[in-house]
Amino acid sequence: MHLSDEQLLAPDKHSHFHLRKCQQCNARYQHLTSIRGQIKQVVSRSDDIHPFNQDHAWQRLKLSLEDAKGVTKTSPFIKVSNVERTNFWRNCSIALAASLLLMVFIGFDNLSSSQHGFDSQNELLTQLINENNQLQKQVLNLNSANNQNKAQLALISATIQQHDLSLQQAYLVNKADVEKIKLWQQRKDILKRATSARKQTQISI
Amino acid sequence: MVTGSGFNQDISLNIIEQAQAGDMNAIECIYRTYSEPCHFLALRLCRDKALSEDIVHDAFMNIIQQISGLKDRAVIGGWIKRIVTNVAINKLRKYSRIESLPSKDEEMLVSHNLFEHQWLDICDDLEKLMTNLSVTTRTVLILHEIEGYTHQEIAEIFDKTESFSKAALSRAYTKLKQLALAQGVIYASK
Repeated sequence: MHLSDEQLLAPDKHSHFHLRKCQQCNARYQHLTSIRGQIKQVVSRSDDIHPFNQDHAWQRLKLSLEDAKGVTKTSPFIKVSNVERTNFWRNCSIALAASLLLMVFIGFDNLSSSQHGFDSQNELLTQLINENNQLQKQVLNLNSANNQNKAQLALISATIQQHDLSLQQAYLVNKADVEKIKLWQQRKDILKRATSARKQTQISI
Repeated sequence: MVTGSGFNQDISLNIIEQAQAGDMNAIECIYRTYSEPCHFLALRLCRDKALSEDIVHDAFMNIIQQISGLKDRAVIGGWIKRIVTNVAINKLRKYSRIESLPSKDEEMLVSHNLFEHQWLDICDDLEKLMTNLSVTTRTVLILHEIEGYTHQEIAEIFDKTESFSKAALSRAYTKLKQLALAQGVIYASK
């Protein structure tokens, strides 16, 4: 009894034994091996046609990993129930305030350590931190005045938290003042947009 | 130090340990070692550059998430390969590219005449023939014949029986033979 095609495609011990003894099946197996070789050749050819841009793909993966970390931190806020949402903004405010205080503290600590080189960049930094402080207060006040659009506020909070991480990182690795100014400016812009959006909502109400 | 090629490349157990502890440099080292074979595997299965890039991306997100649970560090290449394959099959399913075989086709048909001669020798364009296979039969053909998966492993990947894998492979060869012979006839008549 000769081997079936299926047995040739995935030969077991018995099939191998049969192949050693049966010329006919062995010839069929040789044809299969040759066909397999040709298929492999054709499939492998596509590897050369579409080379892999590893650096680009790695950068993309790194960004996704950073995003995933951010989502893990903010997602519990998005999923909270209505009752929990009331406490959410309060907690968020505390977190924001704490984060800001930390930034201000690190900022001033840095400023005091470089008293000798107190230049215009440091002045600008201090000014930006103060402006951020003011805007932060405005956002909190607007929130306590109006309890609506919590999802929108949650989004702002998450954005600010994400931004604060970048700011913390900038201070930790002692980035150039220009970089810090840029980040504080961006933070200010986010808060500014948030306050103007909230004011508009209040007026329309 | 990395030795071998493709998924068989060996990577220092130390690096895997560091990656399991969340060290990004170690993760990058693993990525740079295995992402290219992952890309080629994905590309072979889906034949779409953009989709294969997504597959590698998603697979590595899973790999990074699950690496702390990897116990047998010596088999990391095979483990990564399996994750990429699973992600690829899920993507193909998602985009409805994988169709199920009619139940009667999953039954084993015993044939003895598929490899009586080397019918690919008369074939003019094998690449074109391969594109005429259904996604399911082509995928099984590549997994079994190129990537070295067993019928049992393919059955697990597809969440089907071994008969499904055997029947799909047999169908792939039957179809290829039909197409090759037809192409040979056309080629000869020119």
